[in-house]
Amino acid sequence: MSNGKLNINSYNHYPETWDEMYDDNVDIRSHYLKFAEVIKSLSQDDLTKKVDFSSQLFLNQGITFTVYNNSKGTEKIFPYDIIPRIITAKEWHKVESGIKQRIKALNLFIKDTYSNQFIYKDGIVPFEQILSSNDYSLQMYQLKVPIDIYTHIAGVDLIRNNDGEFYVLEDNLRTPSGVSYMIENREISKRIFPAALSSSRVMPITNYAQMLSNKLKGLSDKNNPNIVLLTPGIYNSAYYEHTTLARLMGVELVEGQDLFVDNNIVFMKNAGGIKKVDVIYRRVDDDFLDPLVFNSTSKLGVSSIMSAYRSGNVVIVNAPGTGFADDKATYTYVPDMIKYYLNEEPILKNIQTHKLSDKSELEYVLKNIDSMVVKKTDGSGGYGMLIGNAASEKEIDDYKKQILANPKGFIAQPTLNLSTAPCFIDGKLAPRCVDFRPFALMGADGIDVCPGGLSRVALKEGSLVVNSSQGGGSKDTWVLKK
Amino acid sequence: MLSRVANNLFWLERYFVRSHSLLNLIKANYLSNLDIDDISPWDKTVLNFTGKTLNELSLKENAPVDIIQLLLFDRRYSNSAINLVGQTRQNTRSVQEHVSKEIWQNVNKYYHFIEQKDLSLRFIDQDPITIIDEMLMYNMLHYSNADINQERGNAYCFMNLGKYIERLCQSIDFILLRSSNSNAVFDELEEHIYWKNLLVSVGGYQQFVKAYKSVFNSKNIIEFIVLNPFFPNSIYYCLNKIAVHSNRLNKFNDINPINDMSFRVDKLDSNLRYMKIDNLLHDGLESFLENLKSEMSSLNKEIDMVYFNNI
Repeated sequence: MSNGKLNINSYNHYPETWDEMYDDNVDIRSHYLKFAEVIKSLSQDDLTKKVDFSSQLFLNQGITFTVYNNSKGTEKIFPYDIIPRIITAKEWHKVESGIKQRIKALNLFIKDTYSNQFIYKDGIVPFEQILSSNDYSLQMYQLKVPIDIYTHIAGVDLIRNNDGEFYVLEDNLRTPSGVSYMIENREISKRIFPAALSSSRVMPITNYAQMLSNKLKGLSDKNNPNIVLLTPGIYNSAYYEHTTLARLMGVELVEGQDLFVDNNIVFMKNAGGIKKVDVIYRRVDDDFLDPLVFNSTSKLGVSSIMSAYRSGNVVIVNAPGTGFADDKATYTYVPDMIKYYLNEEPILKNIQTHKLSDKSELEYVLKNIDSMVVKKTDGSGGYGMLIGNAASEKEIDDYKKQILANPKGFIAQPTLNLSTAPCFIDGKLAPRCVDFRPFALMGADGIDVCPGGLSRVALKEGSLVVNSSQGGGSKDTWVLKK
Repeated sequence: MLSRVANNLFWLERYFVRSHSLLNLIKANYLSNLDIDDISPWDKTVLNFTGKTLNELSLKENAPVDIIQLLLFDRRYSNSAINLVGQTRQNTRSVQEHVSKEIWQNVNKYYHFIEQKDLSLRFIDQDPITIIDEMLMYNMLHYSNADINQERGNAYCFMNLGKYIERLCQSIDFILLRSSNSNAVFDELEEHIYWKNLLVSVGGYQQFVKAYKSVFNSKNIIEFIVLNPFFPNSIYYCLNKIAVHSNRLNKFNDINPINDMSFRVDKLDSNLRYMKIDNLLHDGLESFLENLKSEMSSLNKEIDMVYFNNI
């Protein structure tokens, strides 16, 4: 490794791709200048030391996640790139207002779906959209939920296309994860780039847990409600996040075995006896929440919890049955929902999406599959999708068979040029594709979007897959003050 | 506090103290071996921690290093150091929001240290004591962290309950270890070396020397380990602490203080308070220790009933 200064002017910009730090002439964008001043004064060795330091910090703190299909040891460190992604105040303003608008509309959509179903009766969204979704829950039909909020916590995945605009890739309305990495990434930035962080005037994100705690408290009519965070347990891929949030909010982290329901009231089993639970921030999927209602083999949930919920004795966050609204097929209707419920134009655009339930769209996609990304409508985590231009002929043929067996289970989007951000790889700055997941919290006092988010990075050169389960990493996201 | 969490905190500390005792015993036995060319002191240690005798394990020739390797790194035995540290880490991980960040990070670092692939190889190349000392440093840091950073609430008391019960059990085993090796014939020098190493390993050597003016006879040692009120590893000291923490837990959790568990702890505490070493030896040391072990087993069941029965 060389001891020379980092050459920030030598950068291999991807063609026809928006880069977060460099413009098309490989000049540094103005909002990166202060940070660039700091790193250009450092040597490659200095930066390598910062990489080692951050890896050690992640390992020592146990900031790990679990990969399910990895036969050799399941606990891994989420790779972290030390170079932050920086977003201007103006860009953030648009992202923030766009997310608020979107979450507001989606919440109304869920409420409408489980009550009057006007949007279907008015022909904006077809009824088949509910009928075809495995995530629509009859248990929620005509159920009045506290303050009419279903999507208390949402993570909206955004990408920046080569036109420089942010587009919505997908909405995550069930149990979105990643917020603990947003928090920890910032903690590491504070250690490795303290001067750059303060000179750049970055919006703080440290109060996320307090924001969440206040939103959860506001859902109960009690002054000091007993809030718990329900985790599937230590083997869950996001367990670190569950412990972090419980610790930062000062609430009990419970497993299904710690709770029971008596007379439609949820209790926790304490060393000194039992205690009533008022609000459950659950990180257990719907399917496993209540074995008497959903998956009968589940040992992760609590029997009769849905009955307690329906009786209004406990608040479940996020509400069960929100999954149909972040289904990849429902996604295509979100701009129409915004117009229908809010009478507004969508601030953030969707990516052009082909519904394969439509014959002509199916035909088009099958013909042009080489330039498409095809996804399962109920898929997540980057599993089970096909990236046409990176797949072999056999993979494409096999995938086509799956599509033809159940076209409505798939959507397709053109392969986009995800924006790139510089990463410190092999002693120099190299472009890698990034996406962006800001987190929104909805409560009695409205919607707040934490000024930051998780920027996920496809660490493999040229790759578009940013998911942690598929070899992706993350970087800190700095939102600059006005 | 959740019953499951309380139980995990209790066992977190038991596993930790057990690994600490194992490392201390290994160190004491190894150092004794350097002076006394006899591996018989390992017999009871190996039996205690693996459930097998040296013969059953076919560990005879050049045994100390092989025995240490097995006690530290062999995953087949639940009480090997690597498994005990793994269990400690698993328990700590499940109660992270109840222990200080420093406690979690130290346990996590310990786990990654002992899981290093090359550690068992380094162990063969280097002096085993160097690696054992590195491991012991994590144990010592844990006790410091618990003292300095841990909130004095339920979690602290459950941890201490586990700590002192395990420490007491280990102290019983220390004495039994020596007494059951009585068929081995040691001369006075060997006896001195053995006890010195054992006492050094539990941090009691200096205190013992001050109290007994270097007279290493078994009566003094037994009195020190059983009845000394100021030695943190003595059975009496541990019982005292168990009583303190169980009383606090009763208050914290609104549990009626008149229960079988508190009665048993207070009774044992009173028995030892008024016990004299001559009476103890007259009535039989081994029967006293075996009886105490059985009392501890009953106490464990009562703790389960009182605090963890909601799991």
